[in-house]
Amino acid sequence: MQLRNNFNQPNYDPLLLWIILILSGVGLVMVYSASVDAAALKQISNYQNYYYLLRHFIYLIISLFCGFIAFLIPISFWQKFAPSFFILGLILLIAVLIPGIGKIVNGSQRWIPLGFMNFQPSEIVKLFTIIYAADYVLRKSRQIGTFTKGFLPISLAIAIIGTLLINQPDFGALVVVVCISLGILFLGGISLKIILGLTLSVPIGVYALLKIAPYRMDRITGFLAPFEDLYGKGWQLSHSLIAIGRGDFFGVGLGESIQKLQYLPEAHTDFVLAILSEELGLFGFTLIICLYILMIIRIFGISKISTQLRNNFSALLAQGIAIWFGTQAIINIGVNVGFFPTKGLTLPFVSYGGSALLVTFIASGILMRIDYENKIKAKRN
Amino acid sequence: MKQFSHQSDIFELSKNRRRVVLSLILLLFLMLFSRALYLQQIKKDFLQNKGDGFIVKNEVLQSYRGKIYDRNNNLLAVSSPTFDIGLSISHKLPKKHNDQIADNLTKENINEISKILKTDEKILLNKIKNKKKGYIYIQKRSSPETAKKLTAMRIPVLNFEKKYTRYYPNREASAHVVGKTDLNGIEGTEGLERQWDSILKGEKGHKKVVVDGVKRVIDDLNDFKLPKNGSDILTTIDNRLQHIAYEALKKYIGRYEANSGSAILIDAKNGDILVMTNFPSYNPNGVVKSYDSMRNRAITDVFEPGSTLKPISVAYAMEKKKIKHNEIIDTRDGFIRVGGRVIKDDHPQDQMSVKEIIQKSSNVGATKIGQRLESKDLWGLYNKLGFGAKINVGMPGESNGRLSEYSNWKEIDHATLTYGYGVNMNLLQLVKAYTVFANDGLMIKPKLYKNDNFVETERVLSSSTSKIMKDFMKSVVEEEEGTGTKARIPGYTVAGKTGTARKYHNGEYSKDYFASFIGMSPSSDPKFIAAVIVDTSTKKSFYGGAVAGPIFKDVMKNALKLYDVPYDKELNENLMNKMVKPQTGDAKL
Repeated sequence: MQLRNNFNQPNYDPLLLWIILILSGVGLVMVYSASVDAAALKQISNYQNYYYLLRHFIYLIISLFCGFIAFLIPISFWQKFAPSFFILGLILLIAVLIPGIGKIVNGSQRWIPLGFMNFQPSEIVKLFTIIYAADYVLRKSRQIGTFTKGFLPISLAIAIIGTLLINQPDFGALVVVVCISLGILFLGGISLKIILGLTLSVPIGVYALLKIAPYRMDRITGFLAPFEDLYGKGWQLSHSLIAIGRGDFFGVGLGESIQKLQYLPEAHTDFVLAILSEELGLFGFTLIICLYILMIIRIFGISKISTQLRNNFSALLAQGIAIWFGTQAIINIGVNVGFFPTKGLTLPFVSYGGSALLVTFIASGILMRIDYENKIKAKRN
Repeated sequence: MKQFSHQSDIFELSKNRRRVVLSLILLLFLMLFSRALYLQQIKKDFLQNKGDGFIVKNEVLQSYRGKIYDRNNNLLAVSSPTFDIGLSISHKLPKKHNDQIADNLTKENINEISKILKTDEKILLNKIKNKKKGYIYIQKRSSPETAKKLTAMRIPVLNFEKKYTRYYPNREASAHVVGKTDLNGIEGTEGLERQWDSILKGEKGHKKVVVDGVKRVIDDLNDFKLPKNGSDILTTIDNRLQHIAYEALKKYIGRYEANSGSAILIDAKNGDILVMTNFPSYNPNGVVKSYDSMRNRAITDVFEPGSTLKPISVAYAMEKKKIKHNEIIDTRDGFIRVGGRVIKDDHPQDQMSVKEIIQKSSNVGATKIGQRLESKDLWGLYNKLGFGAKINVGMPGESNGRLSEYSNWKEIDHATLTYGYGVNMNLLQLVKAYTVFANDGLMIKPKLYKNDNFVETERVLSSSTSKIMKDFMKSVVEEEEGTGTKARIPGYTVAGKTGTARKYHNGEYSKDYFASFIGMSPSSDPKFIAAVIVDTSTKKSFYGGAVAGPIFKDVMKNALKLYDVPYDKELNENLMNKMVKPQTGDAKL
């Protein structure tokens, strides 16, 4: 594999790579900081404070390796097997719901134990959905503007995934999958009338969801006024907000967070940003947001070149991944600052969690590949 | 590969739509940033205050409570460090781990803990299971040794809070005098602990600390005030005699199936209270079950003294020259009518000397002598002796007693007052009155504090009158005709008086009696005065001499022995064998 061209320019995108590495590095440090007390108090970690650090580091190494493998795979491969991946995703989502295969943690059946790690099918399904939707839009490019032949079939496919995700339940993943599919359909040329119709149907959908799972309502009231139920539903969010408030401009100092000391549950997974804000302040928070903005802009830049080079699948794939990373980061940060109800979504590249890390790195490998293929094609032209 | 891209290449993706999506994402990030800015700048104080509410704790630094000593520097009350042991349960409870109680605690841990604490493992387990998160106490007031053993286990969730627990080595014997604190050893609730609470407790300190979500201290904010330790209290109590007196009360009250009783012994020369004990009592080291057992009856409960008051009124008549000490009084028929009431003697005699009136405790004789006194004078005497006013010995719960003003007295009132009815008092007030006979007419105020060297005295009788009456009282015990022969002590002469007074209850005199004995020894130059009162339930002998006499003897005999008081009478072996049974108290010495 040739990583440099004849003019000694790198054939991969150094900016994107650096952003990913910086985010992962920050993530490694923050996961350690946020989990140090939780690990030291746990029997399963044998009271060793580096328990989560070590595991996160190993996941990171594996993820980097898998990302590199993804980089080696031509984009056409993903397009060719797009429907197969989609079916594989469905099978995994069904498998996780089968008692004996799926593992229940905190009331949700989201994990398939693999011995060395717990695999979360909903994470890989996000990527498979992007591949499938991008391929779908291009296959049906002539009918994509119509409702019955363009919009309806993929809606049904997404509805099936959605149903399976609700059964876990994993509403976070559901929101991400829906956002990704809608984004790709929109970018792929779906009729504006349908978009308008969907916009109107969102409130109805939310209402229906609340009817199906009433405990959602508690979460919603909890997130609107967390301090009114300080010792109940509002506990987690209150302490997330307290952590952010305590951080002030430059934070209380790395490792000095108090909210991570048995106050804020899930400090190293969903709420790692709150701990980061407490320790590194608004400064650290802004830095993270800037890195994400830079990353999204960069990915859209890659997709633009793909569009110009008429690599429509690559363009849609890159945009889908950008929407994925963007949506997930926005929702996670939104949960941390009290914008959205608690979802159970990790912060891409930063939060602790093997499956999420693995899949985001594979997606990053694909992005690098798209950029690489763009450069090859541009040179040829 | 080519054909895939061919098909899609025909189609052109919209530039505008891409811009819309990118803008939307950027807009949302901008909103998040402004929200964070709002939280960290505008809501900062609110959030930080909320945070401080959780993490900053003002920890109390307990002061070391002062000790209470007896006269020989033995401890009556002392605080010792103990540990409240707690567990911090963190937030997650894995459901399928059989071995795992909380995610920081295994069953094995619980097993070890319960072994060391000697508690039931199941109770401990339930306690933990009922509490999902937070802090639970698994044992309070554990010994430092237990805490040390548990610390050695290195279970990170175990927490130890150092506290001081009050310990009373004298248990029941001194419970009423010393009193007790609340269970935390902080607030004095009874006895001296209550009386001198502010002095004993000193001043609490505090320090501000940072605690984590399971209440472990993680940082010291260096904002503190050190505690000021409390001062010690030195009493005049004799630890050893307290035990002897308590055991004697317990034994004889049990034997006579009586209800309760009290004993007091004071130093006749300076008023030091060496013994003040009551039965029933309570163990101040534990939780008190019966509040009835908590009263310091010797100073809280009043009784009508009955015959024990006769030496006082009769001596006063001699002092006032209303009667000569060798005069013979006509006590024919064994009764006398006063104001429509009849006053009787239990053992009537035609005539009696003043000495015999005291020795045999004649109501008729005492009444006839008393009638020669002016009401005003008799009231003046009783008032001077302090009847109807508390002594202020420095203990909570002291009663005043009651002495009505002489202008309200009817003829019968004057008569009964001469032999101890119509006036009531607590036992210590009676003891105070008897200091007059032990000090040649000088009354001494009893005291409880060793550092209090001032002996408060007041002349009540002339030296000669008091000596004569003391001799009369000696005959009560030392002569075979006396009522108090059971109070005899080998090697020492005793001057004393028995009392058997009916209990005045709801406006009537009941069939229950207060049996009492008060006396001093050695009679030639009294070293101690002791008084015993027993609230009888009449099943067996209720005469003061029979019930209270032996208790008096136990206490007085041991006091004389312990303080090496020289004998003032021949140690008659035969007498000893006849009179003395093995003493309960001796073994304790």
